Amino acid sequence: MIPLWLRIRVEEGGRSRLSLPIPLFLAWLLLTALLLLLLPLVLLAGLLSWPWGWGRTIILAYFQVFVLIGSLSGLKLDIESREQDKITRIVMQ
Amino acid sequence: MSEEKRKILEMLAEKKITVDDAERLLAAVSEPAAAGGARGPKYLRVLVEPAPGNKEGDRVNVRVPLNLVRAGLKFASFIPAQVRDKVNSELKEKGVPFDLSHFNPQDVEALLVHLNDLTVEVEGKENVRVFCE
Repeated sequence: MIPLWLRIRVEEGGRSRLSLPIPLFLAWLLLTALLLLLLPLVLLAGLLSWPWGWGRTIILAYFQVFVLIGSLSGLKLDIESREQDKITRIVMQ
Repeated sequence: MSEEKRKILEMLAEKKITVDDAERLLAAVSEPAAAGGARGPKYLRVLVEPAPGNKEGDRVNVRVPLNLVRAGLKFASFIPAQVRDKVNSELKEKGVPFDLSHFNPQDVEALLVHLNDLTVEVEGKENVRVFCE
């Protein structure tokens, strides 16, 4: 399942300072369109560089980008700065 | 080894329970994992916390999906043979005798399945804990 939202939350002194849900599905739509546009170029680059051993790498890496995006769901990062009494949370879901 | 298994073995060593009891408890502890199939852990967690006496320092809590680790590691298998040899020799020079040609997705899968029992704890100015859940 690809992550649909990126949520950024910043708390300072126990109060919520920022709560920002970013709709990743819009970014994925744009990225998918871009990747599809790049597909012929990737295939061409793969075919041209095949004799040097890079063709397989280029083509497989291209498709692996989709797998990588699909694996981002559940990624979470919490940083609590005690000095500044600030908590930053970034979650992909 | 999981915390529960360790406790059971400690209780057995202290003769608080019999061998039969320990066997039953160990089987019961292993049951949920077996019933859940070979699903294994889902996330790699990294926790960084200041040591008890340390009043400064930040707390960091990172949860990385193991699927992301899997996908990242798969890139290593795409490296062409001639580049792989170069990387291997560079790694060897730096004192890391790791052979990328022996690196395959099955090994990664086996590694990730066994990460369930992994806990790395580093204590110092900051306590670092790496584990899977």
